[in-house]
Amino acid sequence: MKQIKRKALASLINLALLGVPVANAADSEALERRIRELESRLAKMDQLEARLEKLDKAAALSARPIDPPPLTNPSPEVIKLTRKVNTLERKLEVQDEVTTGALKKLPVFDAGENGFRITSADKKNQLRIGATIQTDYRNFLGDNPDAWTGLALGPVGPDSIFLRQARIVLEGYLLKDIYFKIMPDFAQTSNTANMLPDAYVDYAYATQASLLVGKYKPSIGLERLQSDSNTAFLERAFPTNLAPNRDMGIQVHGGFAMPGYKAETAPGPIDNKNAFTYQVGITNGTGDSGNPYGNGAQSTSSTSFTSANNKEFDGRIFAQPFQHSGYSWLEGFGVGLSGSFSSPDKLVLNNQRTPLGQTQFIYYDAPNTITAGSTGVITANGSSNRIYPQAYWYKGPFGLMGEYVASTQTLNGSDPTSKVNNITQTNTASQVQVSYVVTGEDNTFEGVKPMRNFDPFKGSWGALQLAARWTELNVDSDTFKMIDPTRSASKATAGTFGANWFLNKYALIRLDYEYVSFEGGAGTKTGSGEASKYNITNRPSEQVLSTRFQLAF
Amino acid sequence: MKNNFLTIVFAAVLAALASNNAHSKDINLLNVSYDPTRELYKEYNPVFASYWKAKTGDTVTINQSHGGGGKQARAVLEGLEADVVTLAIAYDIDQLYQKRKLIPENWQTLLPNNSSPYTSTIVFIVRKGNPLGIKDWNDIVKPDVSIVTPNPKTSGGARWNFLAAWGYALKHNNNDEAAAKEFVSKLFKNAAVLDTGARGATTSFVEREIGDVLITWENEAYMVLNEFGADKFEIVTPSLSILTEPPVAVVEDVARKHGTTEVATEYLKYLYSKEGQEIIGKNFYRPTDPEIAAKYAKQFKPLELIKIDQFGGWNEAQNKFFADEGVFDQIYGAGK
Repeated sequence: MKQIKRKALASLINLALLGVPVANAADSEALERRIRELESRLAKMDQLEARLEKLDKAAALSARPIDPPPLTNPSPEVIKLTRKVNTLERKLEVQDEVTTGALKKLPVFDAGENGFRITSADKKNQLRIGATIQTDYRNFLGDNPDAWTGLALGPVGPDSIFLRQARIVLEGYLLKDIYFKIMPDFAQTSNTANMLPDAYVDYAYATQASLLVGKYKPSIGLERLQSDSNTAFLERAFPTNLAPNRDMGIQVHGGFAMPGYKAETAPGPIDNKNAFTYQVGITNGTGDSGNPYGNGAQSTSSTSFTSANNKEFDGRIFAQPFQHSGYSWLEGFGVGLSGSFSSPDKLVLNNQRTPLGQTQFIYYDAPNTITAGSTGVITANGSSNRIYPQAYWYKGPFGLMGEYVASTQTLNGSDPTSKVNNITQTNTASQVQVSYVVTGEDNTFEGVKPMRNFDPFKGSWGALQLAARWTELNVDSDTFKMIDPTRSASKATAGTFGANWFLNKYALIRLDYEYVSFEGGAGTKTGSGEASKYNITNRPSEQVLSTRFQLAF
Repeated sequence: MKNNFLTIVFAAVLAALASNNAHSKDINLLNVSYDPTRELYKEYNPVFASYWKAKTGDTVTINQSHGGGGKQARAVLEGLEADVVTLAIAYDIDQLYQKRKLIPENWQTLLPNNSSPYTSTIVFIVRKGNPLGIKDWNDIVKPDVSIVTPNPKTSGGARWNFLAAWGYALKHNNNDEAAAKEFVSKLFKNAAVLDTGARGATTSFVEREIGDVLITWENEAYMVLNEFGADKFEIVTPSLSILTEPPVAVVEDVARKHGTTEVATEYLKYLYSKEGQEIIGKNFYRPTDPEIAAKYAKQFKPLELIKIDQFGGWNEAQNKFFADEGVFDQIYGAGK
């Protein structure tokens, strides 16, 4: 290789010198020396190249990781420790498996936005615990009814602070479809009929047809079907008085959604979720504002006044026909019709009361002594029916509700010698109420949920709803052939203004003012025997201011 | 003429096949089983499916669920819709009647051999070379021996293990129950870990190398040697063990709901057929068919076998030993 290089170098130099006159001996010698220098330098460069290669190889080798030598003979201590670690790891895995399995079966306790709930791990069973506490202050303005009637006004005296409701709500479902509700009210100890407002089971297997059995609100009056916690006023209007409060019975109910939508399960006698709903029931029949006593079992004694074997049939259809229609301003519109039919057998009638003041103004236990005999209790005995058109409309903060009822019943006196012992009475009642949530929240049949809870330090005050209502009850004039017109008014008209301050979704402060005017219901009886007559005047109007502090969850 | 005839025959066959297929059904079965039967049913199910297809034209797909026998029974009681159960002990299947009437009261008489198409027993697996010289039950209660066994609270196999140990202790202590209790106390004191099922215990012993001795089903032991190598493990057959009789049953309540009663019943009956028994023998279970049992007898070592009758049957054994505050809870602690 060196020889070739030497020769090549010499050739190059000769070529370079081509054409140059033949050099002398000194020049050749210099040239030879130069060639030797160049050869020496070439040799050095070869050496450097070789050294560089070696260094490259060495660098590559040093970059490769060196595997540790395998542990061919671990010591007994290492083996023991390894097994201990493996055992502990496995124990943890087994424990995890057991714990995870157990955790999956544990019920879920939830105390929060939706109240208190216990739900089984498979979600097929649930118990919800709720409560409603209402403390009212009722103040009669102006004339004290107690002073001029001289009569007991019922369980609630004027100007008092009292516990209106103290309810525990136990409701839920078992095996996904069997709903139940038990709701005692401990504020009603003096009125055993109201001590257990609701106690029912509802087998909601199919949304189209569910079976409800027990004590519940018969599906007749619209405002009655609204939960006590969610009404716009402290007390309901006159139409509610002409329907039963609660009754014992059995009801088939169902709901249907708009085409293309799925109906929702709505247990209980009230369904506002679905577009079309129906309820059909058979109950014992408790009369207007009636409530079954005790467990509702009818007395078999011949001297007691009961509806005995004759049951009441009731039915209701209600539609929200613009659900999912795209017409948002109409989607909250609902309209329906309900009715009932019965043939009670000496059913004792409840005296009628004013809405807010709850003072009696129709006395079925104060007979017209001129025509109906000096003694005796007026009962419903014979054909009885109600027809009840109803509607509501909610849009944003605005709410409107109206209902009308015509309630026909046959009244019967117990004195067979009286001139009038049997009349057919058709009382009518109606109401229109309007409400508006000033703070902008949605107004609904199910109440108002404030967007911001009451927290004045943060500048939020909850929600405020204002409401106004007009309601009237007209008593059939024939009624006064059997009841005393100087005790019972023939007409009552009430105007109510209300303000509801929602502190949060559970707590609420209400304030209502109501003015009730009467036709009849006062006067004197003059003469005696055949010359007896009633000089009827109007009962003084009633003004009531009432507040309520409510917690409901 | 001949061609026309053949054409007609061919068309007729096609029509028959089409007609058959037009009426054939797709059926799903769920077999809820105990832990170590995975390989058995993995082999058995397609064989049965072929048999059923040939017999009826229907396609049956069998889905398997495996786990500790007690745990599996509880799962069925809590709603797992098993068409059939093939569990480790009769007590667990009986609970399906006792608690929810999912099966008839006389379920165990509906199939031969007390509804047990196969039997097995309980043996030990040790590391190759048997370094601790394990020969019998009394060797595994020694202080320095670490054992692996499932938890009797969740595993049917573990209950068989327990009873086998108890039976051995009774025999060697003049039927002294206190001595037997002391014996099983020592046994469980040596337990490194209590898995929820037999397969979990195998995993612990074989893969995690936990323990010196695995107490397990005989069929499971042979499976371990087969799968993981006879060069790593040995089977030690004790002098005495218990005849395990894992039963099977159609969950009639569920099968009726699914419309699978007929196929589910046949699925279990086929386990008693020659084909079924062959698969059983190949998977190291002891066949109940005498002819097949004789064929596979050589793969099993002889040993003295006690039966569950010695304990008064499963109901009595369960109540005495494995119920809450029973003997197992007393020696190992409740809730473990």
